[in-house]
Amino acid sequence: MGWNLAELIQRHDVPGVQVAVLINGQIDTQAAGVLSTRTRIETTTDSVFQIGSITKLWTATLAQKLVNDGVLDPDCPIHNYLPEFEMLEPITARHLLSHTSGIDGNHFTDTGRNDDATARFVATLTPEDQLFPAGTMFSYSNTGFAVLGRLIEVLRDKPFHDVLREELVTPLGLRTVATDAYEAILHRAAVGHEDVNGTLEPVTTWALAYSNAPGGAQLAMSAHDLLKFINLHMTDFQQLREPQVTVPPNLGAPHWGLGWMLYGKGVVGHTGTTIGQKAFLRVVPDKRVAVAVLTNGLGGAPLAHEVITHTLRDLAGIDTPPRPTPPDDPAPIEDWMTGTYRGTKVDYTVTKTDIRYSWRDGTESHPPQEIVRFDDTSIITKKPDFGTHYVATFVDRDEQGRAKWFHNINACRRIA
Amino acid sequence: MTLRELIQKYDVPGAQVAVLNDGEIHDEAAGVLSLHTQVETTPDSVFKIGSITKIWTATLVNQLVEEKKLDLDEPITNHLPGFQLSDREATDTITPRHLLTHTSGIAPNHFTDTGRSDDALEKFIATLRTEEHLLEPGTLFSYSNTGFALLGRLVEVVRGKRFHDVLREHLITPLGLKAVATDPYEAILHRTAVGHLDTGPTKSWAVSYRTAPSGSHFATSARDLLTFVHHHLTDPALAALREPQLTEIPEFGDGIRGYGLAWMIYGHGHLGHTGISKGQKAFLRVIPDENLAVAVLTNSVNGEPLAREVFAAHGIDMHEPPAPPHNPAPIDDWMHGTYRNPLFDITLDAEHLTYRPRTGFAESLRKPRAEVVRHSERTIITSSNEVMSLIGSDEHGRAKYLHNGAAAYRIA
Repeated sequence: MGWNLAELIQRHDVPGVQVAVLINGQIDTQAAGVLSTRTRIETTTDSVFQIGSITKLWTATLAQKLVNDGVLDPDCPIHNYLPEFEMLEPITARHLLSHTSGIDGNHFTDTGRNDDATARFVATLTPEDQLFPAGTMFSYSNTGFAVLGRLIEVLRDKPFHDVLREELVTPLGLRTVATDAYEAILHRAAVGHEDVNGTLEPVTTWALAYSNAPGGAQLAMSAHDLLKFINLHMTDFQQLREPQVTVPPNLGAPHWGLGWMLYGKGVVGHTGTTIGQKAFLRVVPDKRVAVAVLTNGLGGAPLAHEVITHTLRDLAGIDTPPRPTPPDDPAPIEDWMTGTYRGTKVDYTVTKTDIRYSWRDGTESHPPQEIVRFDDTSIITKKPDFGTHYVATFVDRDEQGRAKWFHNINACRRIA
Repeated sequence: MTLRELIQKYDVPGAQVAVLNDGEIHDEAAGVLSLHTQVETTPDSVFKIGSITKIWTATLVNQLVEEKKLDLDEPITNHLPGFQLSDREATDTITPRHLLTHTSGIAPNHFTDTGRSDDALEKFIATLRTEEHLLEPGTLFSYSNTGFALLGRLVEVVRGKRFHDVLREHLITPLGLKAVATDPYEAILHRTAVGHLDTGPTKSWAVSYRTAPSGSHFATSARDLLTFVHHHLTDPALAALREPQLTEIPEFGDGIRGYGLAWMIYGHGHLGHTGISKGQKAFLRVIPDENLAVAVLTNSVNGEPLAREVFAAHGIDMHEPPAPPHNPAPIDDWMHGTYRNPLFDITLDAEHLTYRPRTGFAESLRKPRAEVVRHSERTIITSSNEVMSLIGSDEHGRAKYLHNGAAAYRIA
């Protein structure tokens, strides 16, 4: 591997990292740094990091197994399997897997840590949580993957984590996979880090709500074991990589498959963000190449980009596009873009110079961010946040010619 | 011997020792937290303290007494209106003092799993409605983890908050304790010890969240445990917990002579507690008159002889483990018979204890027949060196109870 991990983590202000590279069934791994700046425990190649939303590939795989077993029709309304699940418009497993269900994405309601957590979470959803008719648009939905997790539980008649263990973890012989903190604590386990008044500190909450486990709230493992799972996809489950939907421009990947993000040029993968941990996966199935970068710091994205760029160029001959940065001489943000848009929890008010974030009661949820025009339909944050400029894209116009949706992978409808 | 040498001598992967002497705490650590991860033990690592948690729960109860929110001698039903045991009279009679001194007659453990969520304790206490109640409250000492879960529930209801929130707000935060964790989601933020059986690291860090107030989940550093003990030695309100409540404790070969409120009382006015939890063993001894306390936290089932040696170095005698006598007297007729606890009917004859399961769960334990010999006037000892007492005398002069810490009553 042609990089110096110790140098990379220092430059990107990441406490600890694991990298694994898969080529032709062979996995190489590296680790550097510490699992927590508080405990100073060294990261090893068998330490476990949270993989966040990369979990969605595991959930998608379990769903596809149900399809293969003839138990699930991906195009049949979910309602047929979960009679209590009622939305405004019929939703299928395919919609959920491709983030086209219209179900608002970020509820994260805490319904405890019992086996019924996901069932109880799904029971909190109401028809109003569907933002648009299924199949009409892409909008990334963590909540939708919790519904998929529930579907898997009902069709297998077992808690999600038991299905995950029995159908993937055990048969693949993955020794580091932990489905909750009770298991992760038996390993060297990475702790996320976040910005506290300008310094990077270990988080005080290890994981997101257990209810969202099928979307990526709890699962932790080594980069090695993640790629051992991915190796399965080199030969199986190709149908999950078929393009299902076009994503609005500049939102990370131009297309989405079933679970998979499709980056173009034969590259697929996913990204995972949990509380202070960031995980990155890129796979080139045709070349039987994959790379996983698991980090426990906010600077993980630019670090991973370097490693991924390097790996895909050297092993697959593929150029990775640069990460978005503000143009040198940006066009102005136009009137049709400005306004207030509603996310699951946060309202976004776009002005010609910044975005303001507020909770539903109007109080500020995060400090405002300066923005500039990125291209015809997108804006970008002016200052990098741990090396990342965030992009949002305006989608569709209303009768007055104003943007209908503010899209930051979650579609947020204009409310003012 | 250094701690590093001691862990080698006794085959303990990792240990922490803290000594409180005249208000000063000194601590040290040695070994690894897990033979699997090979992470070094540090003084700020956390170990599970098992049943030593009961002293923390008792402290939370005592705070309620101090605030006049609770009386130790009033029935707990005054505060838990819906609470019910299968025995109506026991339900209405049990007081916090019974629970704190293990004299409520509630069986040692109950096994309905009520999950890992905030409401686990509340749900668990509700399951007691259908559980067999064995002994009239106040009859005799019979160690009960469930009894301390019930105290935890009492704390929750009187405070109107979840047990762990009360623990944090009323002890952890005011005492400024940093190396403590009430569950694995907190413990994972620290260096955390994993228990070891003779075969290696345990497969689960903790089970039975429902009994957290009796010691299934709480983890601390030895230093933070002694900071808590220092609070006990300096706050006059907590001296009451050390007052002997029971002076006649059956002999179990563990050196315990009596009980305060949660505190175990050993000889020479020494106090303490022991905690055993998923392959971790924790030991605490306190000599209040000398302002001395020693905590030994280990991540191994082999922790006890190590603790004994550490205590001895500080002038604290820890009871030698019991062993069968060379020429044991016979097990007398008055001892023979069949004794009942919630899980088993246990038959004692001249040579054996035979366990007949009473429930499916008991069946699954596959408890084998044990060889026993006479140990002392009123005790027997098994081939695995477990001492049991034969207590009381019925109208035929036969023992009324077979007692191994928890009592079983004679049925034949």
